[in-house]
Amino acid sequence: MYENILSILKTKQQADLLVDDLVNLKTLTYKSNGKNINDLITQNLGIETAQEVIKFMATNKPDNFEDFIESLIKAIKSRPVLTLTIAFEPRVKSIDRFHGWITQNVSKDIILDIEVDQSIVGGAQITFKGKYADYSLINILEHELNKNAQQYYKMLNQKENG
Amino acid sequence: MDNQIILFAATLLTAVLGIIIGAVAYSYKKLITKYYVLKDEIERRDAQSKQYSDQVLKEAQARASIINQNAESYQAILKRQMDEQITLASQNYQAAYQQIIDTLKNESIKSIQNISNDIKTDMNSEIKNVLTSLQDEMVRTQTSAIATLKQGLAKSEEDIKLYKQEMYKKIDQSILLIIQNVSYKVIGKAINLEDHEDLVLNALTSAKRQGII
Repeated sequence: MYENILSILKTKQQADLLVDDLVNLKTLTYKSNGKNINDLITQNLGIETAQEVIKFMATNKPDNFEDFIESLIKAIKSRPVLTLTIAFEPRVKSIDRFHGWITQNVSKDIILDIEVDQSIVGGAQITFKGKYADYSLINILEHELNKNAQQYYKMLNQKENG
Repeated sequence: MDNQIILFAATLLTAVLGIIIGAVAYSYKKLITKYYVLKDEIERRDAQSKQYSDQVLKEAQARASIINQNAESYQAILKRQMDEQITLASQNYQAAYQQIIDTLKNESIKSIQNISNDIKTDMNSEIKNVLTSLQDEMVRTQTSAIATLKQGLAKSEEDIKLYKQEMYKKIDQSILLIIQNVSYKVIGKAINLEDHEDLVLNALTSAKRQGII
């Protein structure tokens, strides 16, 4: 229903910010008492989001603006979140690449919650719908070294017993 | 008549006294003989026990010398084995690390190709430092182990076995830690932003393949 508006959201941080803005907008609308709603939207939301919201309202003409805002907030909050722990501070282009990949290969509904942890060296740790997987370089490194250590211990034991 | 009786009595008394003195002298002589026999016996036994204790002492010295020799040769063997194992561990970890670098290279992570030499240099110097301190610790612990060895060879062998295992573990943990630190310092800084992004996209692809997302 709100695909065009929601498609702007790529990260949980953006979603949380928009929810705050919408709550604020709802309060202002209540207080404005007849002031042009489109002006309020333009003044209180980001440019792209404001344009999409105005466009949606022009097309769908919701009966009650406040109910529409509530329904939009609910839709934002219900988006599945994929937590991505990465080793570097992402640029906007990085987020576009990750979100683009997810949209293309998994689902358009998912938003990203990006956390930065330099100790993972590279790669990513992924948490989604209660599942967790560690594809970090430090994990690969530990795994390879432990594998090697097991062989090494085996060899030592053979040598001790031999 | 009275004189005759007195003379007879005196003679008889003298004779009895003579017999008594003779008997006493005889028994005294017998006692002296017995004393000398006993004295000889005691001296013989003393000599025997001295000889025995000398023998025991000599044997103990010989055994102590053997234990000492064994301990020293064991120390030499142990040191050689530890040196071999440390070299082997270092080689193994470097090989494992090289394998990881090769894997990353195959995944077209361009930046990593330029840093493997930096990693080797850093890792080698770090490993050398840790191994030097481990060697020092090894010598200290060996000295203590050798002291224990002298007290009882069998128990010490068990101690040394445990000690060796402990040392291997320490070497292993130290090298793992070094590799992690070096990776963090070198790889983390050397990978450029685009390669970082590629690694994250690889992670997402793997997660999808494994049904995580």
